[in-house]
Amino acid sequence: MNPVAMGLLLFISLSAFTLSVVRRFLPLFVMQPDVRWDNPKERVVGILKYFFGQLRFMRPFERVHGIAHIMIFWGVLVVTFSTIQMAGRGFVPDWHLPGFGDTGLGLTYIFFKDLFTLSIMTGCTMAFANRVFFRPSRMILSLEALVILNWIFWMMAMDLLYESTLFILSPEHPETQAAFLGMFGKNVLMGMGLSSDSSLTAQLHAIGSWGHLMLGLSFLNYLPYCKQFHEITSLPSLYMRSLKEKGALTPQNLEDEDAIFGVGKIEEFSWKRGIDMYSCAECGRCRANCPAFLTDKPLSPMALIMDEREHLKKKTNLMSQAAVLKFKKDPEKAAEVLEQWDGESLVGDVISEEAIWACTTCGHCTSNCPLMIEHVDNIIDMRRHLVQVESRFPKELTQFFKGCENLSNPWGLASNTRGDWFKDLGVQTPEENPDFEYLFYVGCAGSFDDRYKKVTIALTKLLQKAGVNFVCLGDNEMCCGETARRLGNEYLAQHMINFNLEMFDTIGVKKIITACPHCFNTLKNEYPQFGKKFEVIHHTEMIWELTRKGAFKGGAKFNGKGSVVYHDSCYLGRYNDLYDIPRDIARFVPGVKLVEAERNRRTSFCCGAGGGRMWMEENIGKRINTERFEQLYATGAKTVATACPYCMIMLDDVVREKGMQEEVEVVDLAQMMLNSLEDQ
Amino acid sequence: MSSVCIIAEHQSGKLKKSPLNAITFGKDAAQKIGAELCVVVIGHNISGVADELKSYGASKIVLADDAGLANYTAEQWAHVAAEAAKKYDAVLVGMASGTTGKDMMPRVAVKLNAGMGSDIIGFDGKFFTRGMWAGNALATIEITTPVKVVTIQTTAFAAAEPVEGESILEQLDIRLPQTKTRFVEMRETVSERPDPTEASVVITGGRGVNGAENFKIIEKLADIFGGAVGATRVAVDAGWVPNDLQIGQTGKMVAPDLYVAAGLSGSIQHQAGMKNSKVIVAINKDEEAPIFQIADFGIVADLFKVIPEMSDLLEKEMS
Repeated sequence: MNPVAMGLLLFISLSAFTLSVVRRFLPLFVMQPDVRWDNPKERVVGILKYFFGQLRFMRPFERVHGIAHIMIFWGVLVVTFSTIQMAGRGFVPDWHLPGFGDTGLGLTYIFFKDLFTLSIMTGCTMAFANRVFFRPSRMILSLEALVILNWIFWMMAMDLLYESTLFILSPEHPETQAAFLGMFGKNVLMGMGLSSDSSLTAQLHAIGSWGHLMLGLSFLNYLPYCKQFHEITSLPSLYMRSLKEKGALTPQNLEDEDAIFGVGKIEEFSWKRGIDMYSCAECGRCRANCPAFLTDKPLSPMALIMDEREHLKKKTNLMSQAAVLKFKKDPEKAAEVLEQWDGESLVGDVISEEAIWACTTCGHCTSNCPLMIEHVDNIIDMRRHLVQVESRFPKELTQFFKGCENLSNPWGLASNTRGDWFKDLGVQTPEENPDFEYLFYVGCAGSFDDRYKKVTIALTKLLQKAGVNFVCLGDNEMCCGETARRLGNEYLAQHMINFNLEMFDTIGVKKIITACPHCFNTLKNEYPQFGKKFEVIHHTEMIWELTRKGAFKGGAKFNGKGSVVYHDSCYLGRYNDLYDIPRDIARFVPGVKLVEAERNRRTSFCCGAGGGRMWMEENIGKRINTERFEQLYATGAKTVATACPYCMIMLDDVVREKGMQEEVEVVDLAQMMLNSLEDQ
Repeated sequence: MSSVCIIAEHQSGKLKKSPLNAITFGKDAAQKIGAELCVVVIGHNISGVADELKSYGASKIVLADDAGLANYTAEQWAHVAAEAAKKYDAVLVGMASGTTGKDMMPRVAVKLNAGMGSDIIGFDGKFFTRGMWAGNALATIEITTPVKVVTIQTTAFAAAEPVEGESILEQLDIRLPQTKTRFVEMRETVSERPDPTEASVVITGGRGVNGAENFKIIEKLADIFGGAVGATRVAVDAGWVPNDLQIGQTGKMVAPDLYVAAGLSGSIQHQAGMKNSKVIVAINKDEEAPIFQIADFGIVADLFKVIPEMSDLLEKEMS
């Protein structure tokens, strides 16, 4: 190999690559600050699990693709050392990394290198076949993906050619002891008539090594311009992943006068969102279970990130100029430069408002993304802009916001009737019982909606049966702020949150029980952002805890219909990992035969009401609740057990719409438990 | 003499009902502050409307008739109303609190440099009363500018009755200003019935109506009252009626004098859109339906039996 040629090749390709990377990363410096390097220990553990461990590729919906990715990924990690050695041999014949070569370590490495070369080539073939022949619906058939797979495949084929011909040329090479794949290649080629003294062998050897290196280095330069850039960004992206509670949205500082309210322009996103955009490998795992995408809404979390990335690329020159000005300590000029943009706008043109409002915040996208891209926060950022800056939102939400602003409930019902449900139940208020142990935070649906009031009452009776010392706030309770927050109305949400916090403080709350997973998640994961932490207990946890303590003897018998299917609430399951307890409660009721829907637990399908969708009309595509009900009905179950007011109302609405009240029943686990006990 | 000016709305050359409620407010206010009542009519070819207004006891009917005013635009009408108010030395200018009133009166207030109160339900000569927080609280307010502008909640005032004598009709000549908006064309859905938000009677059908064909009995009852037809979300989703009739949280908000809820359970989503109705009549087979909790009159029966009977009785009564 010619050292000059090798030197030039390396210099040119590595310089070009560096320039490309700078071009990609420079714009991120005008994006918003975000601290993503706290808690290094937890971050390193995450790298071990999700980067090296590839944990998110070992999941349902994967079939062959996850395995193929692991085969290629680990393969590339191993083979890279060999590629570095090959480049070194352009300058020093037979050069090897320190400790490698004709040593135990070196030969072991060669064995694994061959193994993983095989692994990469097999992985590429599997992925290629999967894309072309099986076409999983989450994926798009992109030419780019097929080119990339071929590129990697042929890069490895060249490496194999290099190794096989090496062994023909020097049969005594020490690596022949370990390189089983190279030996196999040697035998095949010799079978085809190649020998150590034919000039063709030497030529093929050169083609193999230069081919591998040139394909590799050109691929490196292609990376920043295609979806495969995630090879570079995935490590930093995973290291700087969000460590906040899964169910918590980023709080917005309303006191800061310079604060940007939500995101209307790409540079108003945190810089981490920019890395997310580059990291998206278009695998579509985010949309494999996306309720909006699967019911033909104009939202695909994958397209969201891809479209934002394209927009970021279009704005790269302007943002880079601004970044340089910012480095020169001239932020005014930088802002002026950014103002010059007269192309498409992020909200409206790049991402349609319909897409922004279609999200149910069910969180499947983020929880299934191998690179942990934060789709939900991304969408809420834009909702915040629409609501707080432009005051633009679906008109149905006017009533929701008004109701919450004036009377702290979505329907705008008289707030002094909030506690009417417990008038005759002997429930005490904190004034009547200042030494309470638990606050039962009822929430809006539990206080006002006739269907969910039954659940509130059932839970009250269970708590009373078990002798729990609890109180309810009645009309001193405000909406928890969950939905307003997810609708982008952070100001309204924080108003209610702060009111509740003051109230909790005044009466000395330590433990809170709630029957609504949305209240539960917000009280538990979001209230601490405002300085107060409580022990927050979902009603299923409470019922199960009491059951285990023997407060309820096994009931007489399940008096519902048929077998029971439990529908996981997103905010209970995916966001708070409560999967088993609800099922334990269902099984505790004698006579219950529990079945599972195909989409369950972490891959459960949203009922369609989350993220404020409850309060909007759903006129595009199939209704999400109908789709979910049909999935549940397909199990043959006649009782749908829920643990969330939204889920219950949405699914019960389908039962009513279809006129199936006689056949199917939607009940909350608290009701199921109480019914079986009362039958005794 | 200073005056109280009431702007009267009309549609298709006919006087609307809401100005009559506003006139009751105006008469009362004029008496309390010792002013004369002027009713202002703006438009084109509307002498019929002006004539009709003569018999309600106003001192003057002021007619601004101009081809350029044939179609409503807030900018022009507000200009004319403000000029009329100046000419007749108005201290109080009012209009019914409908879509038009809410659209133009704030502009009138700006032109007259006046303080404004909206959705007024009472006036004692000094203080105004208005509902707040979705009707859960009453606010007493004072407007401290010399000229005061209000929109009037029509349900708080009875419609004015004709009285003896005739008001004087005066023509108002005003040069129309250059405006930034212009009227292009009007496209309306052809419906013989009023919109649910404007009707004083709304008959609403829900799931129990069970089919587009069956909505005819709802429509018949609505027509007897000259009222509007409403529907629940289920009825709209099923395609039985067009979706602009949907009443509820995500549909229209109504507050008519009479609301008849037929074959609907009254989920909270629906209640949110109609709970402020004056009289609610519920018809449902299921006596546990939540709608009965907020109904003033409840009939536990089959709507297919009750509604035709109601219609027959009402027809007899009215003929």
